[in-house]
Amino acid sequence: MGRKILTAILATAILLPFLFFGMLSVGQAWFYPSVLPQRFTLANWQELLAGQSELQVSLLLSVILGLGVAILSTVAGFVISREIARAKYKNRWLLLAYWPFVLSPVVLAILVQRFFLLTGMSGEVIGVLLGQLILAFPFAVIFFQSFWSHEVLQLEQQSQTLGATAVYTLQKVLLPLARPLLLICFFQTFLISWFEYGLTQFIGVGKVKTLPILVFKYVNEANSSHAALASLLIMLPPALLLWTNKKFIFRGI
Amino acid sequence: MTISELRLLSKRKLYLRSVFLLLAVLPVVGGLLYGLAYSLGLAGALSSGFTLQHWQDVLASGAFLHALAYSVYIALSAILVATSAALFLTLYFKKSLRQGAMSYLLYLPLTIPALVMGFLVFQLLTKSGLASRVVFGLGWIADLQDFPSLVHDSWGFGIILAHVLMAVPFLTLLFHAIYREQNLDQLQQVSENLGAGQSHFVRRIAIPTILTTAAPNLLLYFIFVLGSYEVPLLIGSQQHQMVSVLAVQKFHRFNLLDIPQGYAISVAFTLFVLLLLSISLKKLQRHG
Repeated sequence: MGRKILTAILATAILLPFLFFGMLSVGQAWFYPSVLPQRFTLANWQELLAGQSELQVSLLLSVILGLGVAILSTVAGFVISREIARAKYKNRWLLLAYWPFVLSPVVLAILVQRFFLLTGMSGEVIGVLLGQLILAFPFAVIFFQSFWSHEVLQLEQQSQTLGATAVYTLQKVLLPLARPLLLICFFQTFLISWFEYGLTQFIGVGKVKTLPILVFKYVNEANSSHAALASLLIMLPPALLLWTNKKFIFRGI
Repeated sequence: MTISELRLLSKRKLYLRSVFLLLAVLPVVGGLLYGLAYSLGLAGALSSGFTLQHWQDVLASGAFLHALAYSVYIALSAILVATSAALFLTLYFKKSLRQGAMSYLLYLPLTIPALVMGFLVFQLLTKSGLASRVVFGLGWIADLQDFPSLVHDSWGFGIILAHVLMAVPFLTLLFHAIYREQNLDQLQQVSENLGAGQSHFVRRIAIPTILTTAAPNLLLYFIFVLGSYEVPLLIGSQQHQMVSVLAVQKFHRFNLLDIPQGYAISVAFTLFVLLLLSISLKKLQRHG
């Protein structure tokens, strides 16, 4: 009985953010001390679907940035992690890949912002994309280390000893083997970009309005219904991914 | 392999490693060196030659050390509470975590980023938030002013809670994975055969095994909370600031002389984290 009650409390607590933000996004006139808003309307959601609303533009920008970061970091991470796996001092190289994660993203942004200012990329989408790659690319390199095991490296060598070209080996041996990991890495690097706030705010100087930037803007404006809608837009795609495969969100040890 | 093929291979190797250094290492090292040079008066618009003035100002004002101590307090509290809660959930719900609704539901909070969690805690715990409305409805308070200040408070309750809410699902899943990988179910059977009770198994075998294996992850999570920015920015107090917020504030002021101090704080914080990591990892390796 106690376990059932605890499970019910836990399940409610887990679902609360989704239900609460859902309520806020459709609620109007939520005056104290009412627990529920006085009116419900789909106006905010309709605004998202129709016309060139700020939220719609921001959603599109976040998707484009996320896809760009995911594609670039997954491809580069896969290729370069192979090189590192074969390096003489593999662990030293890997240690370097951990560096960006030691710093808080916003401290990292402070330290690298001069480069973006000098190159004119500050406040530009390309600058934010490059900034997010500083986090996503080393993540991908570390992520793929588990793939380049001794067996895989030997398999690659065997294929080439038997006369296969590098491209053929990649197409017929390595890519089929790596497909599940490539997919997971793609989604996880997409989420790094999708959730990123500190670096985006600092390098984008508020001009590159991704969804997290918009959430903060709405919170500052005390526009809780729009902030809740933007929050839901951030939370729902990963929740859908989760429904497809848990591994896309969390990869255990 | 011909000589030209070997040359091509080594060229490719050099090229790929350069890309790695350019994308993963240069931004951090270059940024750190630039920040250090700026804080020492060797770079930037107002540079006037080598000086330790900005570092002295940062250390003398006490703001950095105060922010660092406050960040350590927040991170330690959050990790301690989250670890305890996650240990309880892992050991209490070990069957439901393996299969059933809970094995899916627990992944859902991982889809909530720090900024959104900060916003959620604000909406729940502010004086006019959902919790206040509920307790008002129950008749426990007569006015919204009677509701305690749980966000923007000097004890950092809201910040700690937001981090605990984010960490508990992650740590529970991690501990559960460790529980399975370390075959703790089998160890429990062995310990029972040898006459040990359930609580003895939990205290002497399960908790030490889980915590020892998860120690590097707990350390990294501690560092993540230490450098957190979005949550304290949204629901932190004006009186006490976490280091990231303090550093950014130095850049957003109109006084250009604050910028070298911002760099000094960023470099000092990075060095602190690196020192903490190297000492802790060495200790972990010794005990591992």
